[in-house]
Amino acid sequence: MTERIVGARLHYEDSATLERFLATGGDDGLRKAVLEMRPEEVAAQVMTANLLGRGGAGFEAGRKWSMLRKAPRRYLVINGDESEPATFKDHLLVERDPHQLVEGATIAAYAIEASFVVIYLRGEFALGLERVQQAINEAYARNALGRSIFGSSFSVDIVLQPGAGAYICGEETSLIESLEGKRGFPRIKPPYFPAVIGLYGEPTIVNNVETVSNLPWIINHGGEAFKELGEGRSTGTRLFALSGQVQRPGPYEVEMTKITFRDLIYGEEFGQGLRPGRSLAAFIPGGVSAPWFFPEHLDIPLGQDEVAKAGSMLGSGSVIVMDDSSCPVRSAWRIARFFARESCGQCTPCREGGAWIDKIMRRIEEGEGREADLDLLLDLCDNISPGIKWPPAQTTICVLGPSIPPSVNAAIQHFRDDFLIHIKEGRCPHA
Amino acid sequence: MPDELVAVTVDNHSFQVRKGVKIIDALDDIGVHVPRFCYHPRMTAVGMCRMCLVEVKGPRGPSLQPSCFMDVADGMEIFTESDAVKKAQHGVLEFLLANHPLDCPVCDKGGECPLQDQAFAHGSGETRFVEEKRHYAKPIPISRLIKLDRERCIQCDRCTRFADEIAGEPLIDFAGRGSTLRISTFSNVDFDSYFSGNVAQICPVGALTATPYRFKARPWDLLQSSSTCMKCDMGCQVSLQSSQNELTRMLGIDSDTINHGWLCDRGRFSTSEVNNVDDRVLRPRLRNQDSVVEVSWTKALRVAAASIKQAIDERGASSVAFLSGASMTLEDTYAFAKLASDVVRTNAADGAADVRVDGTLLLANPASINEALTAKTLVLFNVDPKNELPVMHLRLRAAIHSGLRVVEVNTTPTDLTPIVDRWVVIQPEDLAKTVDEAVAAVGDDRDGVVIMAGCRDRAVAASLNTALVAEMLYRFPQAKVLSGVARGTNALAVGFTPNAPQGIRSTDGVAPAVNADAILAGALRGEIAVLVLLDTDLVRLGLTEEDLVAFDHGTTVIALNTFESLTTRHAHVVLPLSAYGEQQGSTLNIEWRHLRLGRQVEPVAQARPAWMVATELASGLGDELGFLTLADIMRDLSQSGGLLAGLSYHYFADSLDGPLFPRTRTEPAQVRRVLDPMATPGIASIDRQGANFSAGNVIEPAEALGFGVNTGVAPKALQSPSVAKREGAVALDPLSEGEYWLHLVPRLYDPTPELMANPFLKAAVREPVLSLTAAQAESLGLVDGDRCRLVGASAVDVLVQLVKDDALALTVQGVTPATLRLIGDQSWVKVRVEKSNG
Amino acid sequence: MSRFTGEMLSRAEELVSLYPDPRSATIPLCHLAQEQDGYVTNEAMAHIAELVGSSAAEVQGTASFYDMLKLEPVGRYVIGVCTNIACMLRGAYELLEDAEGVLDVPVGATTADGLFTLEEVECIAHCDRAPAAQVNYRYFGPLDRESFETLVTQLRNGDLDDEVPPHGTLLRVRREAPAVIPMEEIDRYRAQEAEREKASD
Repeated sequence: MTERIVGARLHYEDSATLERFLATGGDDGLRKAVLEMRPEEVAAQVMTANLLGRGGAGFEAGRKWSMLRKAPRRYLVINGDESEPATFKDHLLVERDPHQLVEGATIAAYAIEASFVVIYLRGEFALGLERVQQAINEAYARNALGRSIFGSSFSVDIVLQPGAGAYICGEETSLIESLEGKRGFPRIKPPYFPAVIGLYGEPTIVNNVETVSNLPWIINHGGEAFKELGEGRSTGTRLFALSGQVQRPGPYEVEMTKITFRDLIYGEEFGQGLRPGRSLAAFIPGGVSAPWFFPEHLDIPLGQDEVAKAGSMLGSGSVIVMDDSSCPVRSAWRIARFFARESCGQCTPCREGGAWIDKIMRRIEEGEGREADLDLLLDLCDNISPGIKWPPAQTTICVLGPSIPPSVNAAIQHFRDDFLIHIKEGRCPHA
Repeated sequence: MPDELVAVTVDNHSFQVRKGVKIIDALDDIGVHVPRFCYHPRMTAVGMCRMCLVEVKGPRGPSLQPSCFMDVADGMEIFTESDAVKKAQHGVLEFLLANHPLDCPVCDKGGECPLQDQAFAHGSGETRFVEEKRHYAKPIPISRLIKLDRERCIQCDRCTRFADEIAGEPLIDFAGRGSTLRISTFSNVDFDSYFSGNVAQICPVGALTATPYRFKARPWDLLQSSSTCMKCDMGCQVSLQSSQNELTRMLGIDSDTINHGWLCDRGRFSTSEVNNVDDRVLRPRLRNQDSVVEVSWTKALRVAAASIKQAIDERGASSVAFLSGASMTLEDTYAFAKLASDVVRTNAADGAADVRVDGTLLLANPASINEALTAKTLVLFNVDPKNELPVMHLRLRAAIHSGLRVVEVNTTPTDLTPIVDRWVVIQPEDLAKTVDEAVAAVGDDRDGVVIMAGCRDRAVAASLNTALVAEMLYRFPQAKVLSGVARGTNALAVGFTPNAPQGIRSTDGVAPAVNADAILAGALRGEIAVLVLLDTDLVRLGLTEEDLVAFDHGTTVIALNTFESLTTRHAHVVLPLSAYGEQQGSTLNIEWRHLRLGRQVEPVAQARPAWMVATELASGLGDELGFLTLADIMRDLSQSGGLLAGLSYHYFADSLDGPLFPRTRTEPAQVRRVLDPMATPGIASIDRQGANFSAGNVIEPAEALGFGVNTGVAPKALQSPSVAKREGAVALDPLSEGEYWLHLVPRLYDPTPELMANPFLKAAVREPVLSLTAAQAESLGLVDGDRCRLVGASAVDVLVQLVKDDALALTVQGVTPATLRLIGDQSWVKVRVEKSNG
Repeated sequence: MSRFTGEMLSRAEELVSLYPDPRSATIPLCHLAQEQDGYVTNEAMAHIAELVGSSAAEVQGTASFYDMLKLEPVGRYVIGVCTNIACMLRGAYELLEDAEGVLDVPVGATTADGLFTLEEVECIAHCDRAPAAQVNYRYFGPLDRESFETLVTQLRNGDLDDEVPPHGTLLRVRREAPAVIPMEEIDRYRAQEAEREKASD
């Protein structure tokens, strides 16, 4: 039986309502935190749990909090700008369990003694925005937010901020820029962490929606209990988003490291395999920034370090499946095109390189390619991300640009013949 | 204080570099040039172009880092020549060129383009980009002066950073995202800034071009010399460039002591008026009743000298008056000062008509610009840097953002008001309180105060303004003073005005005693037989055309002018003066720093430098000034003691700014000027764009001075009566029913003959407006856009403009011939407001 | 028109009051402008600049960065067909072609009746219902030609008015909470807490 933490309420039709929330342990974690624990005790539990950030980078949440610069004002920003292609776990959580998110955000605010909290949700999540606003309103109404929460000496406000449609704002420094009313240009590093200089120049913690949604459970059950799930650094459960050419795409919450990609894609309680007669060509283990995996990687467990060791990343936990009917040239082009469209334009290699790679890939896909294009593509990739290695090096300000090469490189290395057919015969072998 | 040093290795060689600077600056210091586009030493680093990547060794081996963004650290290992660095630079350059149009042959930047130069140095010979390039409509005007070609833009953020960070006018910004990121103004709102020309200068490609320079010349055809802008007395250092005996453009040079590379548009584009021969005075001429005849210089000078001689003989030397409100060169000013004092021996001489504060106060304990900007507290007193000394506004903004504490004391707010530490309004009803408030705003720490004293509000009479500044100095006896007066330093320095401190120049001649106002009043009363005007339009000093016509009865007007005006139309003897860029010389700026003036073109038609005219007039009067060359003047002036003892051209031979006067003032060793007006983005462009001292007509050093350098003679002792003691002197008569205190403040583009001669700038002239808050307007029964009549010394119709901010009183913006007529002889002008019949 | 007036102005002012720095309200105000006019007009951007203390060029710079903020008029319903990888693998481009056929406009255009604007969009996080589409950011999927036609018909007939408000209206749930606690008050709380902490240690 799979343990459920963040998704525990999702099987209820009315999981988004306050009634269901309160009937299923809602507020318990927050009450316990603000009434019985000191902020550093809350933080210590999260440190013990070894809760890894669920946004993509997988940085330990407790460690992130501990880096917060001492300053009279500090801010907490919840990153719900989920835009990584094929990632839909936060979308699910904000629509289906908004109260848990608000509770988790308030616990995090208490733990770091935040002066002000913003939940920044992707603007396209219209329903999610409405549900989270409703949950915030209801939290104020029952004194779970605002002055003296549940009679404690802790007071804080949460403001809901809608994004406006820009993938780059998922990057925490560009999210902060956006929150300051500017273009979402990622900030140049150093400083490396908003915990030093963040919103309005003050120390700021940016935590993902799923990350803070784990907090009520961790406070209720203790960090040790969380840590007992999973293995090694990968503790607790994760919501994996399975998509693409599988029979049953969907969100699946599973204990970390306990199942493999084969289980997730083919398992009866998960993806239920490919369409009849199809075989697996490739899959991407952690969002489209990650290097591709192939059938030989199916038995790797769903754990952060395990995937990293095999040369890719678990990232945002989205697994995209491509069967042998799909065209890898087209898939790689579509991914490159995504990054080209979402480049903020601030630095040269990403702005110009991304658009150029998009044009070449499209030309090849449309049968207008040249053989020299393959070397050109790899060299352009190399000029964005020197060495095209993993984890990537970069000539850019942020990691958006270096997210282009993994797919282009994987497709060219593994499906060179497909490229050559496009180039020489002007046709797609999968059409 | 010497910089602290840290040890680094660069390409495996050890160096000591200044601690805490950016890697790119440290590398510049040791002579290693890293290519760059977005980095500008006077603006915040953004690390956007990625051209300056170098490898820096970290715990996980070397990684590429933007050298413009990362600070040097002790023990840092930097690699600038590694394969990884070369490949990254090559790659970035290829990306920048991918969408860049290949229109270099018709691009104004071609030949001095950092992108072109760096492509040559670091790029590959051929393109791998076979796709369709980006296209935009081009070029689009983003103001009257600047055109934007978005296809050439490399998104370096220099122009937008300049607008936001340096000028504080974010009227251009990026729009769009990713590969469509582009520079844009808002809707139909122009990039209407006094400083817009700077963006064309700092653009590292041909994306932003200055309309007056477009297609005028090729960079390799330009001759240039190092010079100083003369549009105000800030003294901005420029590279003055010409082609085929025509001035083509001016670029700012990065002088650490003065302008940091910036110029205002009024200065930058002033070459266009020099070139406009239609509006220039071209030949000497005489006017008799209705007939005007052009004559030879010889004849004109003979007539002029004869009329002066006749006046001296018949009505005494004091019936000959010399008057100027212009920025003439130091040499010209001195020549006329000497002519007036030693030859004509008149006491009616004022070459600083715009100075309405006693020069003694400005010169007693002078501060340099950098001293003012690093003072513990800087008091701005009755000065609006943005409209009077525009680049000082930029310097002040930067200094305030770096922590300079400013107390602004003005009659009405300026564009600095929102960012100054304390704002004190000068209240006519209670001037003593104003001074007390200003003193309180400075606080208890009274050491290290610098007062920048000006005479911005024309409604405040010179005597009152002087009394207030004197009172401030009495309260802060240790304070240094920086002049905030836009024009008149040269006249003050050579004692060519009654406003100058006594003894500023030793002479056995007659010291000036009758100031500009008194000269004009005397002339209007018929007491002046000959009025010699030096590059001055009397209409700008408040006279009407009728007044000029009236001079036909009894006053001979001898006008030495560069540009035609009502004054030249009505003058009896008109002598053409050479303009800026047509003559050599030097000048002093507001900090009394001696600065060079370059000559790039021949004087138009028969125009001559004023100093030559002065020597001719002297000999026409049977005397002589004693100089035949500029070097003679310099020697004479240097030996005249006082402020300018030790004056020379010698120090111009190196690439530093001239020294401060009196020479007893000390200052830290000057930073060598960043000569490249682009602020060093390229490699080849450094050589090409730096103001080249061997090119053009640079002043040759004079012979060695044959005497010891005197220290400056202390100006006359500062009188220091406190307001409290002499309440009566600064207390004004209260307002009568229906009267208001007037504020009359200048704007940069107030009309002058030179401005109206400038085809690119004259459109910026606006009619004066009466600024009112909504409450004031309501009480006067006026709405935005109304016209109303102000009645002061005479009645003037003005446009009403409602302002949102707290303009605290009735303010007329725009000093024009019309609004000047509101001024009478009150200490502070009072007006009545009437609804206009129109 | 297009500047905020009446109730919209008070909502705008309330948004500004939520943040420690007024500029943070820029994007919410752009959304509000879209709710008022369907897109962000120049007049609205100029007004937003006044409200948050930026220049209009800066507001435009921000607004033009984001896909959801439209600086030109769009249809009452902005239909975005996702063609990103997860949807593409399940027939998104075919759906997009169908959508062009059904609406009889190319991608990027608005139907003659001003009702529909068709867009191709990046992943909308509805990948388990691929191929998916959004109508004014309300999600639908999986879709094929037939179900897309039905959707369009329903929209045209107003059958989905409750679910899908006109373009620009993003949140129909308004913030109901006491005024945001002033930062200075929070600063005091936190300082007191730190004091107490110190005392108890």
